[in-house]
Amino acid sequence: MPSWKEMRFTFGRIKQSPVSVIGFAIIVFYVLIALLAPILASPSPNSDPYMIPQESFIFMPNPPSATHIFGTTENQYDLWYGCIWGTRTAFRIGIMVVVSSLAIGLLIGCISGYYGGIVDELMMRFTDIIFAFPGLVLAMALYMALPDKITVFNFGGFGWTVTLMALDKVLIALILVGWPSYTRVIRGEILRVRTEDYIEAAKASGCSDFRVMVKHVIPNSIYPIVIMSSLDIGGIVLTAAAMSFLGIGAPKGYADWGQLISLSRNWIFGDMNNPLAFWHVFLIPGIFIFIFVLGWNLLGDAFRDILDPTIRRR
Amino acid sequence: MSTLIRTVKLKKYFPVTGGVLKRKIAEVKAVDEVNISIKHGECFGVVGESGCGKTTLGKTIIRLLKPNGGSIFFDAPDDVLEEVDKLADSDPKSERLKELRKQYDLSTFKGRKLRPFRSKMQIVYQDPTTSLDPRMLVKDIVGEPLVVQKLVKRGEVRDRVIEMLRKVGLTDKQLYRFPHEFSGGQRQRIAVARALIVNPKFVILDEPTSSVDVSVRAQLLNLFTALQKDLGLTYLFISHDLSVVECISHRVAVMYLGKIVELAQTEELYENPHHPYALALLSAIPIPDPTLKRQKIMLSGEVPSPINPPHGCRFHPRCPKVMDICSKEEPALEDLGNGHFVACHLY
Amino acid sequence: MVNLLEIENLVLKFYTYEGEVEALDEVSLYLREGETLGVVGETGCGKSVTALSTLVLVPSPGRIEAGHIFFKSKSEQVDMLSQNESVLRKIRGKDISMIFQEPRVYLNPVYTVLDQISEVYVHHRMKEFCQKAIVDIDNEIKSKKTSRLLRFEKSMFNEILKNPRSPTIKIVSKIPFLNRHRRRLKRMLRREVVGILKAMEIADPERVVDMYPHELSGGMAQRVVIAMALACNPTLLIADEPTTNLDVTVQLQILNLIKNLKDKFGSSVLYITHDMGVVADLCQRVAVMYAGSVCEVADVIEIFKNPLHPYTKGLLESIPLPGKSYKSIAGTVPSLINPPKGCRFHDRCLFALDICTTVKPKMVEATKDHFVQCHLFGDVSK
Repeated sequence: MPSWKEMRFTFGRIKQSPVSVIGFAIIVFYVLIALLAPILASPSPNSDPYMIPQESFIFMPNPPSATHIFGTTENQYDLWYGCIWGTRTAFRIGIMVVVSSLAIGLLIGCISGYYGGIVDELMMRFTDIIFAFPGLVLAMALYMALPDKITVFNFGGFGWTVTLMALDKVLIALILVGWPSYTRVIRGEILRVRTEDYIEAAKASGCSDFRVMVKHVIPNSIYPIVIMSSLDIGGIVLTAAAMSFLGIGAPKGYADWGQLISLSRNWIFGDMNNPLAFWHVFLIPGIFIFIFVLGWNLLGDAFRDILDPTIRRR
Repeated sequence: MSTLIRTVKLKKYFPVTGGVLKRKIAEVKAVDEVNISIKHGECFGVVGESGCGKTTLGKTIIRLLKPNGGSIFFDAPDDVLEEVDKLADSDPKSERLKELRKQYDLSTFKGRKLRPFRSKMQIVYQDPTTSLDPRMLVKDIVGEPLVVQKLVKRGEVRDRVIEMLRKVGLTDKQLYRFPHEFSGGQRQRIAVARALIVNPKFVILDEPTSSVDVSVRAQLLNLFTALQKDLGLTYLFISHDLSVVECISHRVAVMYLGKIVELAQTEELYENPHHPYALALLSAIPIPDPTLKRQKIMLSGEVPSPINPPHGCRFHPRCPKVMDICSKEEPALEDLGNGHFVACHLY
Repeated sequence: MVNLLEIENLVLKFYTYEGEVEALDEVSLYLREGETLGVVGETGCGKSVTALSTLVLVPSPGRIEAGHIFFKSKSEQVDMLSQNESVLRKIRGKDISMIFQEPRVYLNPVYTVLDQISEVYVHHRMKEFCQKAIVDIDNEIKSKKTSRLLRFEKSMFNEILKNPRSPTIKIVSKIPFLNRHRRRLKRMLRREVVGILKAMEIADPERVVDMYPHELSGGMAQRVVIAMALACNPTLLIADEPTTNLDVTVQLQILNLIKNLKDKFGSSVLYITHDMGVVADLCQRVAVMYAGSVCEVADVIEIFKNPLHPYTKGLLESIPLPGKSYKSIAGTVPSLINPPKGCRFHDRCLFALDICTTVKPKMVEATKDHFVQCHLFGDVSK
């Protein structure tokens, strides 16, 4: 089947460059950790597995030991548990935000790029407005503005209310800040593809606008977006970690890397005698974040090199 | 033979926007009041250089572009056409004319009404590399018009695709391949298969042999001739290569800056050209015979921009036989007899 | 008489992801002084890379594996493939120039016509300009008053003559009042450029000189490219399908121009094309290439009257001409990654012998000055 041939060719190209192999391996490694989380760090029964267990409530962190492989952070949250389950949180945040932004961006970018005219102008000015704000600041403001309960509809007693947890609010805020960049990129690609001969040929065959968009325009403009999303997943996780560090986001004790770094705030400079006494508190979650983002960046670069149509051997 | 396509004063102008508010400041008069009529089963050739409007003419006739004026009558019976002519001369605003136009004139159709015509008129593009979707398999490319037009049931699409591929000289082993795996000539065949799979009556061949090699050109021309006989097609063959047009067309029209300057049967035009531009064009064809030293007519200057065509006869600034009247009045297409028309003040 | 250009047994391979493309397989050509050699062939036959190899400009992943290219520069034979870059750079643009198929792609879109043609002059003929400038300044000193500034200018030009890369020049060129020499240079260059555009039969060169490439039409842009190529009176002009993308009437003008310029400047031309009609009109000798090897080389009248190689015959028969029937050559050009063994044309050849599938034919002189690479004319058939 030809699509397999295509995939085999793509994998062959991935194997050729060591950088992309490393990126790929890192991501596979993290996926395994996320999948095996219940085995690697068994949650205590009867409680939300995402809340990090605390053995005691001593304020000062403990260095790595036999019982706590990575040690504990402030208030005795187990770092090992937090990092392992934090992988799941990271994937959740990254993938959900990117997929949703991508969906919104595709919809709006397609309509805007394909039809042009006044619709295009309005959409683009709207995205300009959102671009005018610094991303992190806007995300925080949106987080604050989002209510805790949203009533979807209410017909006298019969209704559907959605409760937003803190993490959900973070996700929605990041989606609302992230979709304009996707819209821009998609619109640009569609503008380029729209004038090609085969689009006109499809119209000459009688294709409706919808069919042209879905079957011809989108498959030909998808590659820059794939590259952008993989680079973005790392970026989103970093932004979410930054927000957690500032205190916005997951509740205290949630298994999230940003949370862990936030808990290490008081211990960065350690004791008076020994500045690096509590190195494990910030360094270990930091390394997790760093390597995760690095993996996605390398993978995104690899995709770009492989999928770039001018370099591809066509 | 009845007329398949008749255009009456067909116009297509492209606006040129400029200024801060992007208002229309000028118009590119790509096709300017062109009258042609193509009979069933005929191969009608249109020659001209770049910028003369031949591609625009083709695309406007099959309504890929919306004309700015004039009419396109597709497959109208002869008596209707006669009636339209009479009414246009005597009473242009009559209700009957409007009624007839609503029924037969493609230039008044919009959107939904055009859908059934899409399977009757097709186009083969110049560059097969860009006219085939690079992400689609051959079977999908060729089968798409059938699926979209809902002409056959789902199960039959594959069989029709294989049958069509065989007709154009490809095999069914090539169904599951991408366009980039083929050579230029083969890609053009795939484009032809895609155009012909819906059994159109009218096919526009827009410079189909320009992007392929010389040896493949002959193969493609043979294919077009065979298919025309086999499927009873009518062609509008657009090209800038006069020798190719001469081999395949029954009648030829020469265009310059949006207007037809000469129209005749093929042999008549090539043996006996009248318009100075046609003369220059024919003398400029390089003949592969080193012993033949012809007197070549060199035109001065370059083709002017169609935004501001010269007053009067559009060719007069470059014409070696220019007269005073040529810069003031535009010549009309005169009938010299035997179906030979020329638009020149010399005649 | 020594040939101007001799290509001997050139082997060129492209190392791509999909395999080794054997682009040129022992190609041998020679070009005499003052003649126009036409190289004809279809897409993929290797004519463009042959031209690029002459200038040693083959893009990677291509590599010249074997063979020699001898060019007669100033009455001495130069082995192009063994020279270093600085020598080659002096030859390119000055002794050998090349013009390409799509002129607007080969012109830099952000520089005007004046800048681009001046670049050629500055690179190759700076010394001449400096000397001329010094002579002009001397004349002016004799007649004018402000001699101090003029003498300063003269010293600048002398400095450029002595050492074109001296730091003094660089610094002084940036200082506004002291860089008068640049203005003089600009005036001289402008005059030269307008002159050469006039020689290219461009009407109104003063206006064209300040235009950007996107404002030029196809024919005009091609003339500008030809002006750049002929600016330094090269002995060899290589033209790679320069009129393929142009209209037929413009093509006629450009071909006429090339003929006139060849007479005026005395260059030899290596003209690459796929159009036999152009070849018949312009060239004196013709070489036919197929899939990386030269099939036939002969005088132009001879090759049309008496084509020997089956491919040449097929090519001439497949040209659609008014009043003539045309036959196509069956099959397609083979992929050069795993080219057919023996003669590369054997699977499409109507006259193929058994030996054609295994042994590659050698180039033999079938009749006087008419070379063929085919077993039908080798010793084997005898």
